[in-house]
Amino acid sequence: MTFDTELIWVLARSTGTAALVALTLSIVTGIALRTGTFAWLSHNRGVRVVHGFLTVLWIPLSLGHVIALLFDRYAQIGLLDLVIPFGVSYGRVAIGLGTISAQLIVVVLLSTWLRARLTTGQWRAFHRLSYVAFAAAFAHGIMSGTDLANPAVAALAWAAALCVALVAVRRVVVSRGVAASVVRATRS
Amino acid sequence: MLPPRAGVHLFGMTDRPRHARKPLVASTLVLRTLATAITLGSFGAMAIFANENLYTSNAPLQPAAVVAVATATPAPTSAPTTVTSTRTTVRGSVASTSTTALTRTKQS
Repeated sequence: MTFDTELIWVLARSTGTAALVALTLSIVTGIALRTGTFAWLSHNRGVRVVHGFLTVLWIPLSLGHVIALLFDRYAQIGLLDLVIPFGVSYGRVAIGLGTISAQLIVVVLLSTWLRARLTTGQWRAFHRLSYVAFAAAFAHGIMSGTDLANPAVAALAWAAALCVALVAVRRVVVSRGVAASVVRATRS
Repeated sequence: MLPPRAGVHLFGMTDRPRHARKPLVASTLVLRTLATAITLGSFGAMAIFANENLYTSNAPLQPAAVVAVATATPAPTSAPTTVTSTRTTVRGSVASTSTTALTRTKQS
């Protein structure tokens, strides 16, 4: 393995996949906070702690992915491409979705750090952007991920997305159930 | 036969309240370790996998950098050339000329 090309290429691929795994765990634990989906595993405080802790994992992995691709001479991604999406000469949409995802994640992170200065509604609106960020990151991985060409890795990625979808659907159902019970209680 | 009292089952077993159910993992340290293990495990596994499969021919994206490398050094021929890179193989004709360069000077 030569340092200048192959190690950077391996780092770019492995950090990208691991960042998607950590982001999946973060999204799943975040959604599950309201529904108690993981009540069998741990109490809500534990799930909340893990949800916050996962930022320590996916931030450096995402940064590692971006930095490795900046140094990869085959990828030809410049600093400007981190700011302006869809400007890469090849894989315009696939790589642009990665840029969009990264930018949305930065917005979500900033809103989390500035939570004390935001209203609950504002913070919630910003935090819901993480759904879009995850969808963009997943599409970016499917469309451009070299390792996702392997059926086993692709199956794992789709399983992660399915897991997020299931937990999200459960949250919507539970929220509607709670809302309906509140309406019934106010009418009676 | 008398019905059992509410909350009391046969043999004197009582209902346990739901909130008293103990979770599988109570320690947050264990949960954080589990999340770290899953994430870093996937990182390590993918690093090994990527190292063993450096050249993926069916990858969805093939960088165009190799085309730029191929056109940067034109050969004095129009025959199809094959440029093999570490990632992919690009086949194409390199447009070039063998005529001498012309220089124009401004005439007064």
